[in-house]
Amino acid sequence: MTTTLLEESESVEAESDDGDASSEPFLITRTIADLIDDLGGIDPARIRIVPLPGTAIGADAEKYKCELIDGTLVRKDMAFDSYYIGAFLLSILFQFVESRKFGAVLGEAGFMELKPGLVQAPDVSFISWERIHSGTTPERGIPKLVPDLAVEVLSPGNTKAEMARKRREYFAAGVRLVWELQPKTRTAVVYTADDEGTSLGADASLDGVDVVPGFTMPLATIFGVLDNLSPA
Amino acid sequence: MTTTLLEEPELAEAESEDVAADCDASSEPAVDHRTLAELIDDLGGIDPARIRMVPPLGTGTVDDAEKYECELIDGTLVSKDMSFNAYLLGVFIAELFSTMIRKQNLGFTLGKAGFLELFPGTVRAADVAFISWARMPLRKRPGKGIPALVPDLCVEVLSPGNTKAEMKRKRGVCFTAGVRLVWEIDPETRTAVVYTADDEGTNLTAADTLDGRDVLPGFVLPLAELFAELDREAPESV
Repeated sequence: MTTTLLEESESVEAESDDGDASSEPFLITRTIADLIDDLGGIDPARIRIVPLPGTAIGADAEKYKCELIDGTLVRKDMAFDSYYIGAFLLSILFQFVESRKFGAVLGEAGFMELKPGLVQAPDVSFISWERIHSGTTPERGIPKLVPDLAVEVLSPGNTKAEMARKRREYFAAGVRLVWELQPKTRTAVVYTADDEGTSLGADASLDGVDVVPGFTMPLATIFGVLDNLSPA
Repeated sequence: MTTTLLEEPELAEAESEDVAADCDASSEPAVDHRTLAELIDDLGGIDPARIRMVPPLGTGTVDDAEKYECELIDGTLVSKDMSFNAYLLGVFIAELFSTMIRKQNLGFTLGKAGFLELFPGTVRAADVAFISWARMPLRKRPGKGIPALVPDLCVEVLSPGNTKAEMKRKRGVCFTAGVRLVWEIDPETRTAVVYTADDEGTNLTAADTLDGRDVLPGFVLPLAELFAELDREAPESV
């Protein structure tokens, strides 16, 4: 009868009694390739090594004006078209939100700490007053806020894996709606959860649903500004 | 006296609240913009899978290099890249070296795990290396740990993962440390380059011969013989 008790405790101990290799944490074999992979296979020129990957904190993100993910500072990838579309969408959304006093709209320099260790600056973001009041917007330093809506305008340097990870982090932190705009095809995908996306064709419209109630904007209008860039 | 006029007016305290923290140069280093791309570039554009993150970049020591069996470059541990063919040719050459070097008791032959601290904080291992007794302090065998020794002759057998930039940097390190002769052998093209300085190379083809010159006197290996090792097949069963 008492033998059963001894057997149980023995099996628990045996687990840790492995050879040298497994007594080392798995991190030992981690390479730069693993880091780049975790960040979504992005261009290594976007990954800062000062501070050392894995050791960066919010204050570093502010100092270097980079996004912070898993202790590593990552530069945003932007292209002219993305800036341009972002600026246009920002202006429309800003006017709409401002007139209805829903909250604040920020552009791509709007770095915020969604949760400790996660600093992001969506290309355009909307934060409701409720969330602004429950977060922090210090005079200096990165605000601690979780936007209601995060808009990402894709640029050539963004990878699928990078954006998938970003969405996971957004939704885990409490973002309610994510719009991913693709200037190349003039289409978009609307996410209400990191794996629940609805594709919008070039003739469809962005809809604020219950996050920015009443806001709709045809993608053709948004991407239409790109036509200004082509010679007449 | 009018000294007051000559005196510099006292500057108001410049440290107002508006001055960004960056300007406090005394406590903060200048903003460092290094990225992973630059690190990878410095290492010769090699596969990032060869660059270890543990210990943290720039903090690796010679003991770490020994523990993880990696080269140590700028405080970063980098694993050697070695294809099977490259390994085979290394063994072939090491065997010939070893026989000669042992018979004539010239020193030691090292293989691809022959890590050496060429400079303080720089640990490298050629695929095959020869170190003469003259280069060992007091002509004694090295003790524990990675020896701080510089070989006379280094042989590198290229693998697909080796880049030109990586090998050029390695040659630079070797010659600066005092290596006298470097052979770079390419199993893919079946050619070789003989270097007597990091930018002084002589191209050899499979019709040529590797010669130890005055570094390993009497060592001669026709490249055709070396590359034939790549074509060796199983014997016909009787």
